[in-house]
Amino acid sequence: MTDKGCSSCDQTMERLHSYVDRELNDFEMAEVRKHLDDCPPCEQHFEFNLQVKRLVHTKGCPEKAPRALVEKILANFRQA
Amino acid sequence: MDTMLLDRVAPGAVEGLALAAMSQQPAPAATPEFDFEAAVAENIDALYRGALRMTRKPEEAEDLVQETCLRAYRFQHQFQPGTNFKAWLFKIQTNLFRSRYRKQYNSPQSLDDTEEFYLYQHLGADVQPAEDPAANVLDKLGVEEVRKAIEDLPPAYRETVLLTDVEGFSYKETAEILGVPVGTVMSRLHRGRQRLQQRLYEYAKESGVVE
Repeated sequence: MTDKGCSSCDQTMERLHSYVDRELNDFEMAEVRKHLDDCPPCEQHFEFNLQVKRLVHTKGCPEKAPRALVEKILANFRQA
Repeated sequence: MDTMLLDRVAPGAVEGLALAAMSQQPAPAATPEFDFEAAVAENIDALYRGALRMTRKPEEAEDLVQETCLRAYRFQHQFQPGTNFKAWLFKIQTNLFRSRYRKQYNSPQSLDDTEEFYLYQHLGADVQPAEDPAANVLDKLGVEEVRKAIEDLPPAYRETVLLTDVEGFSYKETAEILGVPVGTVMSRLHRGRQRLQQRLYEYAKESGVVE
């Protein structure tokens, strides 16, 4: 991103979501990893995106189902 | 790496997850070894948090989860043991949500392309290179800001982000649950996350986390 015109940076940024989500094949994962190891600006972007994903994971839905709801559902099964 | 978040198996290994059970194909009856009740009980929290973000109202979320579980009970013979039960439940809940909230779901909901890495660009502008602006600000964002940012996403984007980022489903599983191509999952995630970053930045400003 900061290295404008660098095809390796462009390619890495295009794959960043898939890399964060571990959706690339082994070869592509290794390719992106190698670039990130050599490119601090891209590595920072990756870390940031991973942190946003983690934030959504940990703080996005902290609620648990009310106990009464769980009991009601299981009671329904037994009565059905 | 966050092991809790990224503890999914490697991409290649999920190929074997037979999501065929969610298709229209007739499935064999549940075998005695599969404890349906226990499997539902294990997933009620996940169904509920998803329902809560989608309906935005506790009472409606409870109702949606209850109906989802009832349907799962009625159609349990269609579930194929050994396949992904959580994905099967989420598909039922997703379809139920769409039919109940058809108007809301079908209203225009495309997101404009915003700046890529919005939050990062905005946070990175005024800080010294030695600092880690992301960690500082993200750590300060609370449950309320993150919840609002998610709930602000149009339903089609919201459900995609929730399934992948909160529940940890793969693109393929998410596509199967939502009944859309994998490419659609990817583009909705991309746009959804852009919007999410934009909102998080706005809420961070409102709450004084950033100036």
